[in-house]
Parts: sequence; C-alpha cells; structure tokens
Amino acid sequence: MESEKAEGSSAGSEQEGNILQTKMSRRTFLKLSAATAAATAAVTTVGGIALKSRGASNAQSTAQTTTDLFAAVPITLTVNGIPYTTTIEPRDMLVNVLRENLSLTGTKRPCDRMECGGCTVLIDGKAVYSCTTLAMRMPGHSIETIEANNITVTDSTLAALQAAWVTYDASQCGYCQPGRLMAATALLKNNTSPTVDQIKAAVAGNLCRCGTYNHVIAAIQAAAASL
Amino acid sequence: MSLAVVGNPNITRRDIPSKVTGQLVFTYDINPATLGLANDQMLYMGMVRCPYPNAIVKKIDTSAAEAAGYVVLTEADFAEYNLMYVGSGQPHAPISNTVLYPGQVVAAVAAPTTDEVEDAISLITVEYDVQPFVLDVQDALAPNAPQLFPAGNLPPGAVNPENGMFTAATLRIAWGDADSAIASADVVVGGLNSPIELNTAVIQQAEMEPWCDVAMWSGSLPTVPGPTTPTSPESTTPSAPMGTGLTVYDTTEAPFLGQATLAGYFNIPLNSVRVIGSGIQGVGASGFAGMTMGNKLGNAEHVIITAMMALKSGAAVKYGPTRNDHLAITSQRFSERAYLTFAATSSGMLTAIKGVVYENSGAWAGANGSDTISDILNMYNVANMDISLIPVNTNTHHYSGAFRNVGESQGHFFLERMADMTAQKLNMDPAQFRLMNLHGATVDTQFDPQSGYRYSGYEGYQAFQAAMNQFGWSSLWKGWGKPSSTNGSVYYGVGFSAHNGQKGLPIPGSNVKITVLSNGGVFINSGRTENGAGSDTAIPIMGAESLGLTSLDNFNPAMYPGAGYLHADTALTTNDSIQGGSTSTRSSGISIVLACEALKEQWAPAIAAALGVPANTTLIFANNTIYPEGNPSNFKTFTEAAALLTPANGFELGSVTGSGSLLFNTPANTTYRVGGGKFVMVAVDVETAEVRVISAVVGMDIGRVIFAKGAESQVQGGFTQGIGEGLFEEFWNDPTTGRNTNYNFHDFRMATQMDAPDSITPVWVEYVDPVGPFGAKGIGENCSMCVSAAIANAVSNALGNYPFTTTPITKADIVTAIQWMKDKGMLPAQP
Amino acid sequence: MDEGQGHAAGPTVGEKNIVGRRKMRTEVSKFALIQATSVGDAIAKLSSYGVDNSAVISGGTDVISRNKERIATMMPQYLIDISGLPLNYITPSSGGFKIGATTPVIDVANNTSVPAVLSQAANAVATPQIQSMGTVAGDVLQEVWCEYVRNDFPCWRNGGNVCYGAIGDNRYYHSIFGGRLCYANHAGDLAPALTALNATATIQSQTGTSTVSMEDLIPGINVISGRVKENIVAWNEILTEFQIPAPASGSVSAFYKVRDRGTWDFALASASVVLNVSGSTISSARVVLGGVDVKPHIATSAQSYLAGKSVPLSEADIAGAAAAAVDGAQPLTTGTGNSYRVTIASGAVSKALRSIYTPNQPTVYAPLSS
Repeated sequence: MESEKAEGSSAGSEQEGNILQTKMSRRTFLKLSAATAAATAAVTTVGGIALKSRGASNAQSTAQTTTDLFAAVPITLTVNGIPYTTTIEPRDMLVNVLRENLSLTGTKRPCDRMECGGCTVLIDGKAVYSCTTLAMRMPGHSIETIEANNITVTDSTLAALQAAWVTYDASQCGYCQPGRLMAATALLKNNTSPTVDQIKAAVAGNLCRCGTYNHVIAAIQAAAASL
Repeated sequence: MSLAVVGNPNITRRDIPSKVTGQLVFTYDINPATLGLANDQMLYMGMVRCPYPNAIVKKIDTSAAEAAGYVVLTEADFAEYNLMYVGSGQPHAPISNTVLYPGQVVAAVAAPTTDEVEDAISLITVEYDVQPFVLDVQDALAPNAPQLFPAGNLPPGAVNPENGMFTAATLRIAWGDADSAIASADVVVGGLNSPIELNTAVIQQAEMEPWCDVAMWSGSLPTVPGPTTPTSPESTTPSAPMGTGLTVYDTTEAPFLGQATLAGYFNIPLNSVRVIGSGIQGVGASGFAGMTMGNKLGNAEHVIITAMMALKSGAAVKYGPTRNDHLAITSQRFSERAYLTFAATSSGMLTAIKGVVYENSGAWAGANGSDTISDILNMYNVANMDISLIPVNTNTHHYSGAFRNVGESQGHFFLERMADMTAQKLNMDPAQFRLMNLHGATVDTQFDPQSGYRYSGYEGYQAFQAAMNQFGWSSLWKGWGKPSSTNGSVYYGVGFSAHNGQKGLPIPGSNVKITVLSNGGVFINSGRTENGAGSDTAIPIMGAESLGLTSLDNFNPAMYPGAGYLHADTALTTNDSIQGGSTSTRSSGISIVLACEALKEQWAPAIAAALGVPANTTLIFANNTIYPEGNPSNFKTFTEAAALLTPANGFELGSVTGSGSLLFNTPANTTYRVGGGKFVMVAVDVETAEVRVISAVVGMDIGRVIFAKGAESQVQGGFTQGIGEGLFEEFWNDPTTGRNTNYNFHDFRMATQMDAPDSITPVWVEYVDPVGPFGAKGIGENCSMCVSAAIANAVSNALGNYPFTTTPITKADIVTAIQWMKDKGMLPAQP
Repeated sequence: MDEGQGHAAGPTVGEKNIVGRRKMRTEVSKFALIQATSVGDAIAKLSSYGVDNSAVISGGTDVISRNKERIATMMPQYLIDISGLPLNYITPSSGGFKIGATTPVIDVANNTSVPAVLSQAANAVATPQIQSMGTVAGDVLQEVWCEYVRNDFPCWRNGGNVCYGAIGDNRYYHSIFGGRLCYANHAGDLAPALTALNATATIQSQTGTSTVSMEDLIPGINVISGRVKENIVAWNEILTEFQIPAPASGSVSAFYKVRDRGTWDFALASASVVLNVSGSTISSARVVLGGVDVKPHIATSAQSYLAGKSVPLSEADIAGAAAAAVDGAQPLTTGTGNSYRVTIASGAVSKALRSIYTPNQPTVYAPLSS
C-alpha cells in the first residue's frame, strides 16, 4: 500500500513537547498500516476483549483508498505502554477510541466539550482533554490513562495519589476522579513539592459536582509528601 | 455507648479503590463486550430535539434515516401505549409532537455505532409550527398568556411519590391574623401592599455521569449475566427468572420504582422487568451511579424511549446522552419567586410572616415546592402566618423534579434574607435575632406547625450556636453596613443562614439482608443505589457495629472471598426503597440493625453451644468476639464463630442471613427535621466585582455521625453545590426566542476548584436521635440547603448590606451594589 | 412586551425557513484530516476544497468544538492539518521574539523570557489542559464564543441578519464599546496582550506573505468571503508567525483577567498594560482591554493619561488611568444590557497596573490577611 506521494513531507518540528503534532508523513503512515498485520499478533488483548472497529457498518472497505478520506483506517496507539491496533475514522476523538474500541472505560466523557476535565489523560506526560484530541494524531505518542497501574504498577506517582484519595476521602461518586488524578499525576511528576496554589492551578481544569475540592487538596498534598 | 466503627474517623470509603483505578464500570461505560454481546447486537440511540420552547411538529421526515438503515421512533410509535407523567405533572407520551420546552425530544434514532448517531440525527428533518411562549410565572397566570395545556397553566394536584401525600396544586397555610399583625407591628419589612420580591433561578442537576441506560428484551439475546460474585447462595436467588422480558441497566436511584414504571408502561408482569443500577463490577457489588441528585428517581421519558427502541429494533440499545441532551431533558431545580412580609416588635420578636411563593414547574411537572412552605412554617416561632404556594407551568424548562433538597435552598434563601433585613431594620445583631426567634429551640416548640407532629428529636438550635461560636461570629460581625474587614479593594463579609430542614426522614419500605459466611466474610444485599453519598460504606459500618466488628475488613472480598455489598438489582436484591431524600442512613440503617438482630438470633445457639453455655444465654458481640454477657474471657473470635456455620450445625447454606425491614415509622405522627446553621466568610473585590467564598462553618444536629469521613464530604460537597447556586448557576432562556442557550458546562457554571473556599468545617451536634440507627439522622440534602442564603447574607455584609434579593448574585448584581455604595458614600469603608 | 401576552415567536419559523447561506449535509460530522506538507501546500489545498468545505486545523480545539456543535456554517469537511509544519517555536529575535503560529499556549505561559503581559495572558487562558492543546494562532483567530453563535441561532455569523445578543442576552459575550452587525466580543486572552506589545503577524496567502499590525489583523467586524469575521485572515490564508518587537528600555508589563469563575471562563474584561519607563517617569504606555469589544480595545485615553506619570504609580494615578480606560464605552442598553462590564474593565486596568509595583496586591484569591 505504498503511496506515490513525494517524500517531501514534514518530519515534524524540531521542538520537543508539542504533543499534538504528528511526526509522520503520509508515506510513513501508510507504511505503518501495511505493517499492522504483523503487529496485530504482538498486540496484547487485555482480558481477551475483541477490539471494536469503527465504520464497520458502512459498506466501505477498510482498505486504504485515496478517494475516501473520511473512511476508517487501521491505527496503532500505545496506551499505558501497551500497543493496541484498531480501526478509526479521522473524526474519532481519543476518548471514544479508548472507551469503545479499547474498552478502557476508566477515562470518562462527561461533557465532550473541554468544559469539565473528566476525559483528562496524559499524552507524553502532559494533561490534555481526550474528548478533543484526534485519535489519528496519536501514533508515536505515549498515552497514559487511569488504568496505568491495573496490571502492574507502572506509575508510582499515580499510585501514591490513588492511595491518598482513599485516606483523604477525595472521591464521592467518583466519576470525575480519573481525569483529576491524571492532572494531579502530571503536576507531581514535574514538581514533588507544589504549593497549595500550584496544586489548585493544576487541577483547576477538572470539575466536580459532588464537591470534593477540599479533600482533593489534602490528598494531593499528602501524596506529594510521600514521594 | 462506646462505638468501634460508627463515627470512627479512620474508616475509609469502600469504593474508592475501584473508582480511582477506573475499574468500576458505570452505566455510561457499558459496551457490548461488558454484557457479553457482539458489537452488532447493540445500537446507540440519539435524540432529535426541538430548540423552540413552544411548538407543534408539523412534519417529521424520517425517510432518509430509515433508508440508511437506522431505527427511528416518533410520537406514533407510542400511540398504543399508556401515557406517563413526570414530577407529578400532566400525562403525556414519552415522545410528543406537542413541544412545551426548549430541547424537547421529537424523535429518537438508533445507529450501529456511536459515530453514526450524529449522522443519523442529521438525516431527520422536522418542520415546526412555532408558537408563542411564556417564561415568567406571573406572565403565565395573566389572561391571554399562552396556555400550555387545555386546562391552563396551573398543574393538577397529584400524589407525591416520595411520601404518598396529596400535593394540592395550590397550597395555603394560615394561622392567627397576619394582616392585623402586620398593620399594627412596630417594624415591617415589606408590607401588605408592598411585599419584598425575591427570586431564585432554574438550576441544573449537572451530575458528572449523565443519567443513561441500556435496555434489551429477551428472546433473541443471550441470557443477561449476573454479577461474577458474590458466592453467597442467598444473594443469587433471583426473584424473577433470568433472561426473560425486559432488562434495563439504569443510573437509577429507585430501581424498583423504575421496574414498576416500565412494567406498567408496557403492560407486562412486574417480574418480567429487571432493572439493574450499573450491575457490572468485579468486587461483588453493583448499583453505582455517578452522582444523582433526584433526577434519577424513575419516571423519566428517556428510559421508556430506550426500552421502546430496543423493542422495535430487536437489539440492545444504549442511550448515553450527550451533555446537551442531558441538560435539556433532565429535570431541573425549579425557580421560585416569593413576595414576603415580615413583622416584628421593636424588641426583636417576629410576629408575622405573610407571603406567596410562585413555583416555576416548567413544562411538564406539577407541584413540587411544598418543602419550601414547610421551611417557612418551621423556621421561626411566629404567631401569625399566611403563606401560599402557587405552582405554575411555563415553557422555560423540562420539569421541576427532585433535586437535592427540593425547594429548601429556595425556602431558606427567602427566609434568611428577610430575617437579615428585619434584624437590620431593628438594628439588632442578626444572630441574636435568630436566637430569639428560632423555632425548635425548646422541646415545647419542637413540632411541625402544619401537621402538629412532634419532631423526633432536634438540637438545631444548639447546632446553630455551636457553628456561630466556632465561626467566631461575634468578633467577625462589625455591625450593619460595615464589612467584617477590608484589605485594599477586597471587602470581607460574613453572613449566615439558620437551618431547619425537611429532609432526612426514615422511609418505610426499606428492606435489607445481611449474611455472615463461614469464612467470616459479611455480605449485604440491599436494593439501594450508591451514588456518592456514601451508603455503600455507611450501611456496612452500621452492620459491622451491630456484629461487634471493629473495622470493615470483613466486608472486603479481597480479604474474605464472597464478602461485599450487592446493590440495586430488582432480580437479585431486596427492595431498599430509594436513594434519595437523605433517607439512606436512617432507613437502611434501621433495617440493617434489625437484620443483624435477626441474624444473631439464628446464629446464637451454635455459638452458645461452642461456648458451653445454655442456648438462651445473652451473647455480646464486641471487639471482633462473641461472649456470654458478663463473661468476656469465655469468647469465640468472630472468625471462629463463623466457622460454626456448617450444615452439620444446621446452616445448610454454609452461612446465616438476617433480614430487616422498616415497615412503619414509630412513633406514629412524628416529623423529622435537621437543623443548625451555616456561617460563611466571603471576599468581594469592589474594583472588579470578583467574589470568592473564603471559609465556612456548618453546624448540624446530625444525631450521630456514622461515616465520619463521608459525613464531612457530604457537608463540603453540598456546600460547594450551593456556591454555584448562590453565585453562578442559572438556566438561560434567550429573551427573544425563549430558546435555551446554555445546555453546556461552559455557560452553566458550576463552582470550580478555584471557587472552593479554603475550608468548610462541619460542627456536629450529636445528641442521639430517638428514631435513627445509633441515633443518626440523614444529612445529605441538608448539606446543600442554606448555602445560597448564607452566601447572599455574607456578600450583602461585604457590600454595605445592599439588599440582594435574587440568586445567583451575578457580577452584574455586585456592580450594582458597588455603585449603590459609591452613591451613598460608603466606599471606601469607614473603620 | 404587553402584560400577559407572553413573547411572540422569534424571527424564524421552522428549520426550513432559515434565510442565508446554510446547508444541511447528510454526513455532517465526518471530516477528513489532510496533512499539509508546507504552508504553501496548505493554502493550495484550502483553495481547492473551497470556502465552505475546508479549514485549517492546528491544535484543533476550536474547529473540533464547532464541528461538534453542528453549527451549519462551521462544519468544514476537509481539515488541512498544519500541526506538523515547523511553526512551533519561541525564538529571540532582534531583542524581541518570533513566535510560531502553532506554538502551544502553555509554552508561552511557561516562558520566563517573553514579556510578562504575554506569559501572564497565556497563563490565564482557560485551563492547563486547554493551554497544552491550543496554539497561539488558534487563540487569536478562534471563533467568537457568543451563546447565540454556538447554539446555531440564525444570526449574522450563521447566515442570518440579526444579532440576538444586541437584542437579548448581552451580559457576557457582547461588546461594551458598540458594534456593527455582530456585537460579539473578540475572544481570547493573547490578542490583547500581543496588541499591547505592538506585535505584528505574518499572513501567507496564494499571492505571497504580508505582515500586519495586530490592529490590522483584528480590525473588528468585516465580511470576508461572505462570512462575518473580526479578523482579516481569509479561509485560504495561513497566519504563520507573530513578531514581538524589542521592548523599549525600562519596559514593564502586566495582565489581569476578570472572569465569572476562578478558572475556565472567557474574560468579562481583561487588561494588558505595557509601561515604557524612563528613569521614574512613564514615557509611553499601552493599555489594551480584552473581552469587551469586537476587537482588542486600545484604550487611548488611558495611554495618554499615563504618559508622564511617575512610578511607582500612586493609587490616584491608577484610578485615573482605570477611569480613562473606559472612555468612549457604549454599553448595550437593549436586552439585558451590559454596562456592568464597564466597571469591571476599569477594575481590571487597576489590578494590572497595581500588580507591576505591588506584586502581592490584595485579591479575592490571595490569602486572607487578618
């Protein structure tokens, strides 16, 4: 499935840290697609759950064509260190791919408009709203979700926060907490001694209707002290 | 009574580990694989909604959607079925071509993938005949107002499903002679011809997990799997055969109410309907909803629509609403407008309250504001009362349903602004004014003036004083017209609301079962949903205490396989009434204590035999041991006693189970109120109108703290909701078109981390209520009332006691107050 | 409104009767993500797909949000992705800076070298997550957030011929300095700061590049290719870079944003101030208000007022500048009215000016000093 396009496409910027830049040329992307057949065998299917494809009900084939730019295409995302291969459309947001294609429902989607923070995940270590993150841009980036410690502990900062949440009763219904925990993880990975103002600023983009804000500050302070 | 687990500040919330790892599957998280279904066995539903507040559907063209293979429902699909009602309102079909509020559903469509739902919606075109609309309650009562219903804009009387009481469409309570008392009073705020007008706004529930559901009919689908644990056979005996009829996963606070609604609507036997409150969770428990505040109390159109779509399509159907959908078609907190007059003697005694409260019931609800009136009747000793409630239908919003504290944050706002204004006119410390007039201060006055019933127990007056003293009111309040302090352009104000609230009663109809397994594990079966209020921990606390345990370890399936708590499944659990009205602690608490007694009674003979004492010896359960009364050295550990639960000893299931039910309230003719006060300090910047709550002290006569960490969380959480109600939250109807313009979290503004105060401190008065497990009362809803009132009084204090009479107090209102202060020469503040 | 009449139906009757350019597409929310290989390639692709069908995407926060709202005039199907182009940089240049269009806002917020007014403005954008996701050019060029546009009312921006805000709810999102056709505030915190810094912007089009002042970039309401916009960037043009000139020596700056809540919300009013100080006298000043006008509002009276004042500024001078900053205010008096934001705009100027010489000035967010 090689494209005839010229190799002159951008290799991405020299700058580190712009998490939403895709660094691949179209030609590279198509190479990746061709490689997924081999990659599929290496994918860990957690719990044996069949990965759901998108666009399955459309009559379109999932084979790459240059005429239907809206169609579903195969893609590999690395989530919590595990590569997942699935099929997505260009319009698919990361939150939906995580929750539906990959059955990683720990990340929530309370508003789908960047207005609540419940969908927060870490991409290359930065807290972002996955509801407005294009899944198509994710190859080549590391995605961390609330499930990061569920098979083995891969993130001790998150683990410290999860434990502190219990001690300080920082959760009531719990629906908004995965997003907040990821935002707090990003904070503490960059700064293990944050001030109260720095803590508030880091989780300011996470709403809680149950009103856990006061206990959240105590929990984050305690987790920071334990690191 | 020395308690080991009840009130223990070290007990942690049981469900946090599963939630902070993302493992707990909420209803909104359900995928086909979750239910063992193939992808092509589930459809996803979306709604076509009319943006106009009042319209008739002239024509719906669904042909393109149907040609594309999507399944569509319109009004016609419901024509042969019953009507339904919400919020004690007018009967209607779940989908109706008569649109009475902005955002009403006119069609539902189901597609095979979530991506296609929006595509499917766009294939349906609708033509509307837009009608004149009315948004204001008094406009709606005027002649020539657009009539929502043939009989007009006054909703019918109906029965309140929460307490079975008849709610008259208009309500008037009076005693004494208010008119004369006002005419002859020393001091009047308002007046017979000039009452004070106060307003509150329509407020969204805005819970983070929007209500959602998955419905499927049996026949062509695999048997619905039950929970993977528990292992206790008692708890897996279904009350209905599995795999037949209708199964609905629903974020419901009332699974059995939902079951009855669905069975009634589809005219099928009750036991062919199974409602599961989020039944997928690997630790032996189910029934978790992401925060509910009353809008998930059954009777909602969307559940019936989902079930109908499942019937028509033959597939499992998931309705996970978009946030726009949800904010449009959930229920809301009604706005109210009060016209009030207070009269007092010059020495500060309140002599009369007169007024009328208009309740904006929205389009489809009836009367829900009786608790507003109840608060007005119960707050103060007043010899002359004349208060009316007039609910009115308008086109502002869907319907005014239950929402944490139902009517009482409005009622307390009206009361406490009037009380502060009265105290100001008397030039009296507002706290002293309350202490002089609060009802319920003495046993003689602890009765509901409307019913005459006595309070079961009450120390609201003491809780008010405790909060007042802890807050430091006397040193912080500097007098009328003066802020508490200033720092440059930041003016600090202090204020409070007295509190006498309706919620927290025990509800008959609570049933629970508790099981001890032979490995020492303990298992609770109760139909109650856990929505974040903490019953999943509080009920086990009370069970543990009754069984003499000193921690909740025995409920932990990781330590005791088979232990846990099964919630909210009409096929598998008891009917434990509803998760609402702050009834969980009191109702399920009473039931769990009774269940433990029944359990211990069955278990005792085997333990007595093992201890070598007669079978009828009184046994004490304490400190994880069981021993004959008076002889603690002859004991078995709880684990040793559990090992006695064998068939050989007559326990055929290898366990022992006790059932407990709260069948009726004793004593009869008792009322249940919770009281205290909320004291607040706010900061207002007179340059920029910025405002923030700095600190709060909340006093409450809780009776007995059961789950200490959770009780504090309830206080802080309810308070935080009240910050939104007091300063930011309101439903927007565009004045020109009546359409809503803030069905989103950008412009429906809840309090954020930055708006939270530095501290919210509960002050508990534990006096052991005579009716309540371990003396406890329910507090959940009481935590969210009085907050907007306290904040309004504090902001008023910061700004020269500007007479605010509307919530939310917006920045525009604050600028008006700042300008008023400037005009009166009050800026800068004089020391 | 007549007593008891209720409100008459609005100017539209039925979905099919909307006038103006409006489309109902069947595959409305589908879009294609097409990588641009260069800025020129992006422009060529935009031009070929056409004005109704294509748009630039960098961070994506704005274009994706509008697509989700299904605003009929704002759902381009072909998104030309420029996020892979080398436009992400903050580079010192001739004493000032060049900032690439696709630089994430958070990089500006965390940059300690750029002028304080700009990093403080970046730090005030929405929330930390949105700062990571959004880009500098995206913040400057975003569509207005007015509740009528976002709810697909048939207003000037959506193919109609009325401003619902002017006649209805204008409390939060509409100009206090008058308007024409559309009264919606220019949205975003960076543009006022860039304007205060006398920044310029480079725009590349089919015919070449041009560099314009911020005032010319955002002149207020104009109509381009049939669309009502407040900036001049056409649908097939790309803003590639902002240039911040070298500051005058002794230059100090600050930003203050007032919003409804303590985070997230757009500005009720913001103030970007730059003081060029010589010795202890202000030689010239820039005072630009955000969130109050159809464009960043240059408060010329306040700028004149401050010239010649001594620093540190006295409270009297701060108050004088703040009052001058809202000279010429024409708040809306129809509908809800929005005059309260005149006071708030003035207050934001006070706060910004005071913060330069009193970094720990009292605010409602500061610790309580008893």
